[in-house]
Amino acid sequence: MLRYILLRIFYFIPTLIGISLVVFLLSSNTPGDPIEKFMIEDLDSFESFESRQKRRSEILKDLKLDQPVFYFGLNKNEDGSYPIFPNLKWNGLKNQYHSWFFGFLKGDFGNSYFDRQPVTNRIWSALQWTFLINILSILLAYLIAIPIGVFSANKVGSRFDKVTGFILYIIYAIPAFWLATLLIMFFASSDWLYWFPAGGVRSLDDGFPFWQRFRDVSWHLVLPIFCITYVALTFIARQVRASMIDNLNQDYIKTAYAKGLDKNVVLWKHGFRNSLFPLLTMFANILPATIGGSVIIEIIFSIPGMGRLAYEGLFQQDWPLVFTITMLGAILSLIGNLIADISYTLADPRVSFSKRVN
Amino acid sequence: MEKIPEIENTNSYFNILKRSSSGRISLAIIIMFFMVAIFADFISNEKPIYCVHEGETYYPIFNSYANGLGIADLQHPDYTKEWRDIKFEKVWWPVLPYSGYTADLKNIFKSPFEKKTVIKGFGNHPLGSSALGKDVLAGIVHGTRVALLVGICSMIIAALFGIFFGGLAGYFGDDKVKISWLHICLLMPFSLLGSYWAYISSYHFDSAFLQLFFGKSILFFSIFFSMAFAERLCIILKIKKNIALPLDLLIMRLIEVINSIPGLLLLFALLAIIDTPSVLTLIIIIGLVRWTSIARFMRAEMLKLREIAFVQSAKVLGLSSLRTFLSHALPNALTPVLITIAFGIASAILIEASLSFLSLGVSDETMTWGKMLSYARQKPSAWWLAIFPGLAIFFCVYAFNNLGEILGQKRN
Repeated sequence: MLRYILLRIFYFIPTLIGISLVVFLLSSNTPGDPIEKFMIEDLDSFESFESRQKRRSEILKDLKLDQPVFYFGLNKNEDGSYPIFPNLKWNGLKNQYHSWFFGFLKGDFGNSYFDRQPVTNRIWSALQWTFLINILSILLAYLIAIPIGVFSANKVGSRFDKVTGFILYIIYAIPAFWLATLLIMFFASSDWLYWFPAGGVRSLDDGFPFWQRFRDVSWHLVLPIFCITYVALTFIARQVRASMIDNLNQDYIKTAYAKGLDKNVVLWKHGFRNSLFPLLTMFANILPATIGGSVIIEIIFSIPGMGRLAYEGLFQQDWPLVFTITMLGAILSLIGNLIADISYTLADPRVSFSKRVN
Repeated sequence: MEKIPEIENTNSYFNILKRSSSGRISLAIIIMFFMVAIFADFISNEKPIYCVHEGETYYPIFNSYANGLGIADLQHPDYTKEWRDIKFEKVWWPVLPYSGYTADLKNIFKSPFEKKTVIKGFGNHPLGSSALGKDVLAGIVHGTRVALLVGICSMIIAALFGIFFGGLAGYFGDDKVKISWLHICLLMPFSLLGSYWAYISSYHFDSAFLQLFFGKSILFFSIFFSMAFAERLCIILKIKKNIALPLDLLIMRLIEVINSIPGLLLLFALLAIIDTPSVLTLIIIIGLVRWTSIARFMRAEMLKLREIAFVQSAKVLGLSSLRTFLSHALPNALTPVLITIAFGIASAILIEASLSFLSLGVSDETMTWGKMLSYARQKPSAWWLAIFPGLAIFFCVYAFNNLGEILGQKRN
């Protein structure tokens, strides 16, 4: 088992490097020239050629674009064409990819193409909001999904099972962004019911007392959390149902009934407790998935989270921001999968490496 | 010779769908959407199907098709006027005389129940109108075409990738493909050299097609050459020791890399590097992102199949492993993959709708369901702009999801 866990952690590294290569390949092919933008922005018409060159190299250095792109590059002929046989040139460790990747691991995400400030400043507060709404939504989804799943597994084929199954199934096909638009339209606009704010996360500033601010923020988050919750709901309820059906068919449940235990005690204490663990490990898998799904909800409700930041970055051509968020999302789901896999192995050591590694 | 009685295949996928009522409903919905998509131009168009003007006969819709193919010039009886202002002697209008983009400035943001000022005999904006008086129903009709086109074509791309990679990973596993170290040693530099030549050759061609074709053939040829050369060398040098190529491991790592990046963020990153987004680029991007689920399903199917008797017996008969794979294992895994493709179409349609809702992905002229929904955000009182396109997305997604669900249930 220890061998499996170590191998699983070891596999994390090539995947991480693979992801970083994909993201870097994309980021180095983006259109537009960030330097020209900044050169035009602080244009001084009486500038000498030397000072212009100096300014240019300063901006280049600021954005870390003065280094060669990768560990090795291709040399060109003198006339600008490529030679028949590749003329490889070793760039050493001072290249854009190396400094970007290792800077990333240290928490330095580079400078924004929009305002040349470090991206990190904007990311951390966005990360907090994204985590807050997603974790709250998943907890809520668990709270609703567990009773539904347990009771429908208790009597498979009963009316309750069929009705909840059908409703969950219909809910599953409703696009989240459609529901969000409808909710804003009917519950957050002056034309219909004005019960909730249409967007943002707060309307009171820091001067107000804590409880007032708390109520204000939770007021803003009702609709977005609802939209994220219902997406996760179907998936969790189905998993609960499946794993409960599995457990309720085991012999020890029959034994418990034969002992004359109360029905509810058998259901919750014997059945549910045993299916609880896989459900908890599932949390690590669901969190990255919902964060990916909450991108569009954040944009619609103007929540200053990661998804909205990436979307804004896309329109501002702020590539370091967009690709940092992409990379962070990927790392998050990698870690989530890793935690889920390892905790699953700890709970059930029978699972062999070859079965679980893929 | 005795005649073998024909046995009706009661378990064919079509029959399974016909037997359950929800299967029939989703099949009907899908067929309806297909019909609308195919005949969209004849259902809703600002041009008439057939008209006579000053003694001359025109077929404007067919004419625009011919013009699109480059056969005919665009005909217009009176260039100074809009189609609907021209007086014809004889005319057949489509059911809905508006295209998705036709502006009708007299009816801006009209609800379905409101009274509209329209020329008599013309469509009455049955589902309301949006900004600039664009007809909602016409938008939905033309959006159907984009949605189905993206959903199905992107899944064709995804299926090609998924079936190929998933099949390789599942059938050959980590230990079935054995090649000598010499092959690997020669393959690595030659494929790198081939890609370098493909890269520099692209500077000599102007057309993208020639660049792609010539580049790929150089790459393919250099790989083929290195493999053939290695084969010869192995015989000459009598190298017999083989290394197992961990195909399964490599492909599953690739899938993990793609799956780890959250879907919409990966699409954002891919859209960032494209200058002019169009339906075609959207199809390719979605296809390249969504093949992993098909590959995983295919792999699981192959793992089961390769232990089954007929595949084993093909091997015993002495067929090469590649031949067994291509002509025995692969065809039998294809039908179950239809299940994932049905789910995949639903999710591709959803992705297209959400991207165009965020005004990413398709160009401004193309009318899509998601784009119509985004109009609703500009004017919250216009409920018809949110309800009807959303319902179209919902029914389409529901139908394809249900198709996959029913097929999956019957299989187990």
